[in-house]
Amino acid sequence: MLAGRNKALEAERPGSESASPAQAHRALIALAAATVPFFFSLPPWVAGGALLIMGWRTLLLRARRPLPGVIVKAVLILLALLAVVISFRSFGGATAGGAFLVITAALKSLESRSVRDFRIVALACWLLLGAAFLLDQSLVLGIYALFVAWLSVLALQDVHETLGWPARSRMAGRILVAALPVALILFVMFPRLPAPLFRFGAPKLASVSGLSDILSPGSIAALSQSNAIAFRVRFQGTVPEPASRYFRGPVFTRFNGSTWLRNRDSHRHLTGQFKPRGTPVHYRVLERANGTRYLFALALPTRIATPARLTPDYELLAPHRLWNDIAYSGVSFPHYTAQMQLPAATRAANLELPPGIDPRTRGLARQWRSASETPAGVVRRALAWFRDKPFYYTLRPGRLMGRNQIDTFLFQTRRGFCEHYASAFAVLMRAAGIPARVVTGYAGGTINPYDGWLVLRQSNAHAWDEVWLAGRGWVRVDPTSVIPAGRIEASAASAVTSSPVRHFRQLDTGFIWHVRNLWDAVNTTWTEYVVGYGHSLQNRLFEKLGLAGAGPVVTALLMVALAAMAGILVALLGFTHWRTREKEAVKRVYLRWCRRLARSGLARSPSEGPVDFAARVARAWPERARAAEEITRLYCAARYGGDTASTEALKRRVRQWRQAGPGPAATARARRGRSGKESR
Amino acid sequence: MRVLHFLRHWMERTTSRRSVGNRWPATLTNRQIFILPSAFGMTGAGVALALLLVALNYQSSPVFLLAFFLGSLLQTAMVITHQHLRGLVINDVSVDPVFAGEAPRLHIRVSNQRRRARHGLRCFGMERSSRPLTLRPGNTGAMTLGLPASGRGRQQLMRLGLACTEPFGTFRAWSRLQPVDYIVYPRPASNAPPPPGFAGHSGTGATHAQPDDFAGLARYRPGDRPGQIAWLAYARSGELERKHFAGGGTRMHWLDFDEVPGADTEKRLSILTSWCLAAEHAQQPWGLRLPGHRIAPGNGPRHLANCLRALALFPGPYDGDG
Repeated sequence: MLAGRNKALEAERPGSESASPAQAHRALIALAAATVPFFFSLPPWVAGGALLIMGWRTLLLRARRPLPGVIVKAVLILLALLAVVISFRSFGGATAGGAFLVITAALKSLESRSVRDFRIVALACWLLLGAAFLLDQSLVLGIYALFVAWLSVLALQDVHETLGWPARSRMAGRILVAALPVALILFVMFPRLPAPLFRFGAPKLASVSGLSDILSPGSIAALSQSNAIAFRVRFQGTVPEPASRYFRGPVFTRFNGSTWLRNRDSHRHLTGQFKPRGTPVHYRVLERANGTRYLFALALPTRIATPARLTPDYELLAPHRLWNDIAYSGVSFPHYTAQMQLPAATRAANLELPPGIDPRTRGLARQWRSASETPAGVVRRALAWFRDKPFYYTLRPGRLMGRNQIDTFLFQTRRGFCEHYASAFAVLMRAAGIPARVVTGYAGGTINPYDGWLVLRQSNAHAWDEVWLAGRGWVRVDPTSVIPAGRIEASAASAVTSSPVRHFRQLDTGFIWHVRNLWDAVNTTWTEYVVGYGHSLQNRLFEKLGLAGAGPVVTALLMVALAAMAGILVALLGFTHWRTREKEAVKRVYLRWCRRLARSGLARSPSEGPVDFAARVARAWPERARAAEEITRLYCAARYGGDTASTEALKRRVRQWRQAGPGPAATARARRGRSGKESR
Repeated sequence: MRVLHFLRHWMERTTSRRSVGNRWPATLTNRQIFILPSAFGMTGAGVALALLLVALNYQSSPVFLLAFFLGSLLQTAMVITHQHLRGLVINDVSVDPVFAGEAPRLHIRVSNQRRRARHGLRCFGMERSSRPLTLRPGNTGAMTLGLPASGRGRQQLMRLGLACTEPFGTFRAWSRLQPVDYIVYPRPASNAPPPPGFAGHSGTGATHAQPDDFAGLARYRPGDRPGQIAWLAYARSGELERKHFAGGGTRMHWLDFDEVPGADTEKRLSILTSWCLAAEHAQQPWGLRLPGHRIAPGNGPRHLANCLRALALFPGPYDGDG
């Protein structure tokens, strides 16, 4: 009788009570789902280890076993740190940081006990998604992230809920949908800056490959085997001919006998100008994140709508490495005259060869030089030589060894990929006294019939040459293009089908081809408007909205305020009962009936529910019992069930009640009348 | 610190000024509902901010979208939390009387008159919080809060309220209730002497025969409206017959404060309390005499409650049937 504290009625402070197994499971599922994308962007041991830890936590949960102690957790944390440092050789950055985050979140689940702990686990899913997006920005991940967000909301929802999972899922979905408009407004309106405010920890994009700053035999061939998209281009008007679709990337001027390096001056700005000829081509580029600074413009650009500069070798560089997909528009002239006057230093740099190697190549070049009247004649001879001699185009040329690699290629193996031909051609030209350099980039591409974008994949990576001819400036020469179709090996054929050097038609137009193109078109939209949404696209939008004048801070504040208001509005619309007015009318009718009963001696006490009241009326007035029950049923249906048809029926019944006459026996009226008075 | 102190003071003043009144039923309005982020809510905001910083650092559009999505989700949760309390009808707030040393329970009966269910409703007070309550549309339910035991007399519960942290625990919405009074009866003496006049002790107490009429009503304190109190008792409980029976020629006992052995007032009150319980258990009518006032003989739960209340409030003014 004299109990001290009534434990059954008390709860601990909300949140610190231990989580129900169901909530713990939901949080673990959400976290596991958020971990899965890292299988594709990080070494598999990271996500695998994290999933193992979560599996361990699940087993402990099932077996109701105690959680591991401090020592076990400390050892696990140290192991994780060690593994990350050994595997990534760093600790900062999106890659190592992401790996550590994945493991830490899993370890957090291992020590989670209370409702709040598991809610933090559910919250950690969002951080994991953020890390995943730094490493991969594909549409698949975007859709998957929405799914993980939904799982996370499910896990965040309260544990004491007695709802079944369909109702719970709907609730989570409704909250997500209500939150979406504000998120989109903020996404579009939040001021984007042309360059990052601060920058640390650049990610290593494991899943993305691209052109590198070093050209050695086999580097392009390795790229060619990847079907990944490098960038997409949409042209205004007609698409240029395949033969003129050369997108320049890194340019190489320094040769050491096997490997080409870029010009030491590439940090400088271009000083010499070029004269565009012919009609301009307008286009828009969506470049995939590749960790390099190269922007890809058709031939030489005259205008690029993103911060960029041209190096002395006409490379187009962004101010920082591209860790995210980027969208920019540009104007190019397919034909141009570049550097009519070649500075002496540039000339010397483009003639330099490592001394004492490749004697046969040099001899051949000298022989051509003396036999030709003009440098252009030497170029023609060289191309003819490649065409006529048994040169093969192959992805597996075998390794070139030794000191005189160009000699070996030109006179013995004669099997190579584009970088072999470009490299050998440049050496031949230099030996003949013609300034020459190797250019890498992308060429050709395929048009997606669904959206008209030209898609350039890593398999379109290419290497060619530029030679400087007096009176013409730098002229593009592609020695690979002269190899006859018969000498292209099957393994390399797929790499050249879409390149400008081979005018093979893509014959594959089956179902898979259509699906792939359609999917690609959807991806393009995602990349252009979501991933590629940045400073330039936002500026264009703001100009259209007439907001261009406002400063970024003013705009930000304005947009945050607007979004907050919009959010509250949306949430109110979604989560309040909407037809208050109608309900008030229903209540009025019911209260009118109650007043009438009170006059008859049956007053409803304020704490009495309608159903209880109806039962009391039925007892006191049995002949009206059915009518009272009917009115109560209709009232409940109209007021709580949202049944509008009931409203009219209710009004009718209450009218009928009034017409039915006075109340129950006078004695009962007198007695209950007093009791009614008292309870008021 | 000073600013914090001031803020706390201001918050306390505002919330208590806008507390929900003592007239039931009462509907919670916007004015009475306060909402602030919880510690976990701040963690959530921190995660959203961290995502925003990552997005700014890497200029990653998807991460921007993620950060804004999370922020917007938290804001939506805030509105939902508020909605769980808004329009909630409080039908009744009560504390059952208890004996000193017993843990009283606070009952808050609420009903949900909107179309959506309300989740996670709790009441709080005395640093405690009740279990969460879910109310489906149109339903009525009660929250019960076990309170710490306290001493005899009229007690007041301050800083009571209703709170909700649904759906994510990121925000806490609450409404304060005005202080609730309740009565704590004296603790019944565990080894009390047997009450005089019961079980063979006839004659030791002031017992006398009582005719079976209601002349005794007239002996209530002057100032009370004549007949009101007895009328209420009988109209509410309908125990009319029992009273006739009780008065039917049996012996009436008076439990008199002055006859209780001992000098300690609290002890004597305890003994009187156990006597009242024993008398009620014996189903015999008895009256209670305390210095300053007395309660006419009778029995039944209503009578017992009156007597215990008088003992609880002793020596304070006995405020009649309550």
